[in-house]
Formats: sequence, structure tokens, C-alpha cells
Amino acid sequence: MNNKDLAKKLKQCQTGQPAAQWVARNREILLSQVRAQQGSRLDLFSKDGASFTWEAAKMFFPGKIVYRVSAVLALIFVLILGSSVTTAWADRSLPGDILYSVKITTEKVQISLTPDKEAKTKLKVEFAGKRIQEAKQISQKNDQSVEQKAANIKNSLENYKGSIKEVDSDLSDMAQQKDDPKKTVEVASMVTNQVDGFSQTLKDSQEDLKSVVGQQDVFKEAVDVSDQVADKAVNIIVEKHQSGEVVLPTPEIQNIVNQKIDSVKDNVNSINQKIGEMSVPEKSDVKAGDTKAVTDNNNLNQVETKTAEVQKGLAEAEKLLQQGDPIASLEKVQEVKQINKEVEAVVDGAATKTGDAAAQNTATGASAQQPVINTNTNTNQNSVNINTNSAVINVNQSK
Amino acid sequence: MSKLSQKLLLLKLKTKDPEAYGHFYDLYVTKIYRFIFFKVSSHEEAEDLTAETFLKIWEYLFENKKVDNLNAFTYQVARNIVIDFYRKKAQQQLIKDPEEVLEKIVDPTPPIDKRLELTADWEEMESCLRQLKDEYREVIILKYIDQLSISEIAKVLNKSNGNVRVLAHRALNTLRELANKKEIKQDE
Repeated sequence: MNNKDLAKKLKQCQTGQPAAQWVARNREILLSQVRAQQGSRLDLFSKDGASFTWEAAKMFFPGKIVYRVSAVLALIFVLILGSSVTTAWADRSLPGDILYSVKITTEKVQISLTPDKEAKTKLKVEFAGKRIQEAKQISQKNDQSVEQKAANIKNSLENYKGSIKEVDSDLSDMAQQKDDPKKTVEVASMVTNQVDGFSQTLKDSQEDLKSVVGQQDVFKEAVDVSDQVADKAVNIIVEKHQSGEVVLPTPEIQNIVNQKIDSVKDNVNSINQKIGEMSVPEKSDVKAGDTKAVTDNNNLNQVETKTAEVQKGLAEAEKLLQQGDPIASLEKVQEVKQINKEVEAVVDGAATKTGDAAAQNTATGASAQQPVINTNTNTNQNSVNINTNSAVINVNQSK
Repeated sequence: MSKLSQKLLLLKLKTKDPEAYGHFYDLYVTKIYRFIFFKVSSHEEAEDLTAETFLKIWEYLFENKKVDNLNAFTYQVARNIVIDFYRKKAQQQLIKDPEEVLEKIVDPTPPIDKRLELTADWEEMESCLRQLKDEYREVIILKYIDQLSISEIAKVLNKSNGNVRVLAHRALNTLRELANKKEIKQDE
């Protein structure tokens, strides 16, 4: 054994542990002595209290006075007013406002001072929701330039992603612990409900926010990370149920998984809607010499195949759920989601190129090229062909 | 625990909040117990001295005395309590040098609920740790098991950072030799 291995082993030390009973009993004894001796709590507005808060500020911010003042304010808000009350003015501030740093500091202090892990996670979810509301509010502000708004929205969404990733990490820790599975399931339920809501809000607000920020990546990432965390929460609930750690009624489990299946169906419908919103003329020809069009046509064929896979996968997921295998059903839903993302990427690409082409044509004075969907009827095939170059979409429907 | 969390907890403790104290207890009880356990000869003694440590820390905070680093302070209090314990014992039993007693630790049996959990591997590691001299054992526990920083350990042991680094290196080498010897003996 070398020193490195030995150091690693020592880090996982299992020896010298106290008896659990003694730990609990001793805790009660100590806390009763502490409470008896406690007397009155420190009055933060007394002389002692003032010097305490200043010392506290120095502990965290040995630098400039302005930061010390904001830290003192944040600490006073949390320590005196408690976690459920923050001043209205700090709470209403948005990125770019002077008091925004007080708001964020207050939130971080609240989380750090919350001893209970589950309560910490709930706070993180609550604060993540605030970041999305901030992004929406910024998009509606009239007193900032477009560049400022874009930077502030991006800031909010990056902070949102950070908060949600922390929730993800908390969920992973909770899933591994066996102490209190009921509490874990409670928290996971809260997370999946709230974060699904955030994801939906982001999707609903995407157009407004896009018009300011002008790029989709930051939204897609925020939506993706939300979906990931909501899915993880659902997996935890179902696994805890399947392992017998927590007993949930079968209809409740089915309902949870069905919600996931329905959200994929909603996504499929919105993709179909995007396709449908593009205008629908007659069939256009893809000429063999036109390599771009041929490539695009191949992409379109892939989309057609994948769309069929998605539909098939959803049907399988529903069947597995009916057969009493929610875990396999969820796995199928994950697979299908991934395929659906690929379809969405191609459709979004077509919509973007159409927009770019229209903008270019407008700039050069040429007439705008409408995205085209050609509908053919034949007896054998269902196909969706999307020409991403000229945004020509050929839909062949079987009869 | 991150430095920020430590500072925030210390701040909360200074407001004499029993809940914060409970949280502090939950975070440190196992570490302090283990730290003391390797210095005394029984689990009962370790329990008593651990309880005394936490009470002393509360009294110190209650009297608004200054604490800079919660980690280092906690271990310092525990260490001083063990030294006081042996001084009193020495006075009672007329042992000349109480520090000598620290070198002669009898292997205590673990509590029944922990006995079955310990693998043979860890029983050997515990036995090797007890064969180390106290100074080496302290630094191994603080640095490699409880993951304190060099500067924190220096505060606890009242040494310079450089001394602590050298001590840690020597302690680990010695422990490694003991562990390897045990492995060789078992293979024979």
C-alpha cells in the first residue's frame, strides 16, 4: 500500500464511531442544558447587537464598506425577520438593480442557515422559480436598453440553471440515503411539480424572451436542465415505491408516469404545430443534381422515421405502465424524449433558416420565400419531408 | 463543510440559538468523539469527554468569547479537555508524566452496535493507529480522516504550518509501514 492509497482509505474511516443511542441521548441532554441557560437572545439593535452585526460583516466582507453594509442588511433580514420575510424592496429587485445583490445574499444566507437538508432543497427550488420570474419581468421593462435586458435575462437564466443543478445534486444525495424515504419522496414530488412548472413557463415565455435575447441556446439549456431534474425526481419516487421503501397507491404512480408521457405528447403536438404553421402549398420536386436539396431530403426522411419511432415508443410506454412496470415505462419515455429532441432540432433549424432567408430577402428587396409544405397523397407511406434549405416540407400521407 | 458555511454557523452560534447549536452538534459529534476515542482507553471515557467538550464550547460562546475558526476551535477544546483529564488522573493515581499515559492505550472494545459493522480491514487499521505515538495519531486523524487544513491543524496543535506538514508526512509513512507489516504477517 502506498501513501496515496492509505490517505484515500483513511478518508473513508469507519472506525471510532459513537453509539447512535448515546449520540441522540447526549444531544437531548445538551440541548436542554443549553435552552435552560439561554436567557434572552441577542438583540441585534442593542449595542452588543450592533457590534455583533459589524463583526459579522467583517467576517465575510473585510473589504469595502458598501458591501459590508449590504451584508449587514442581509444578515439582519434573515436573523431577525426569519426566512419567510424579506423586505419588499429587496425582494422586488431585478438583475441590474442596486439592491439585487442584497436579495441574492439574503437567499444564500437563508439556505446556509437552514439546517434541514430537505428544507434547503425546497428553498433552492423556490429561489430558482424567482429567477424565471425575474427574466420575464426584465423582458417587459422599458427603462433598459436591449443589450442590458439581454445581459440581465441571460444572467437570470444562468442563475436559474445553477440553482436547478444544485437541486439535482441534492436529489442524487437524497436518493442514496436510506434514512427517511418518505421525506425523500415528498421532496421529489415537490421538485417534479415545481420544476415541470418552470419548464412550462420557460417554453411559454420563449418567444418574449427570444425577442430580447435573440438566441435560443440559453433557453434550451434551461429547459433541458429543468426536464432532467424533474425526470430524476420522478425516477426517485418510482424507484422508492418499487423497492418497497415507500408505499404509494398504484393510481398515484400511474398518474405520475402518465404525466411524463403526456408531456412528451404535448411536445410532439407542438412540433407538429410548428410544421403546420409553415404554409402548405403543393408538392415540389427535389432534383437529383441539387445536392443541398438531396441532403435536406435525406434529413427529412430521418425526421419521418424518428416521428414514427416516437409514436411507437409512446404506445409502448403506455403499455408497460398498464402492465405494472412503471420503471420500464419511464425508461421508454426517456428514450422517446431523446428522439423527439432530434426531431425538434431539425424542425427548429428549418424554421430558423426560413426566418434568415426572409430577413435576407427583405434586406435585398427580394420577395420573402415562404416556408413550404407540400402535401402528397399516396397509398403506402406516411412521411414528413423537410427541406431545410428552402424550408420546403413535404408531407406524404397514407390513405 | 465549506468556509462560508462554517462562518455562517459560527455567526448563528454567537446569537445563542439552540437550533444552531443542535446543528453544530450533529456536524461535529462523530468527529470529536473519534478524535477523543483514540486518546482514551474506553468508549465510556470518550462519551464523557465528548459531552464535556460540547458543553465547554457552548459556555465559551455564551460568554461571547472570540472564536476565529470553528473547526480549529472545536478540536482545540477537545484536545485540552483530554489533557486536563489525564492531568487529573495523574494526580489521582500518582503517575509521573500524564503524557506517557497517552502512549499506552489499551484497545477498547467498540460498542455492540458498531462491533458488527467494523470490517476486519478497519479493525486492523484501528489497531495500527493505536500503535502510533499520540502526536502522529492526532495529525493522521485531523488531516486524513477529518480533512482539516494544515493551518487549522497548526492552530489545534499549536505548531507552525511547516511543522504540521512534516509531521503529517512522517505520520503517514509510519502508519503505512505498520499497515504493510500487518499485511505481510497475515500473508505468512
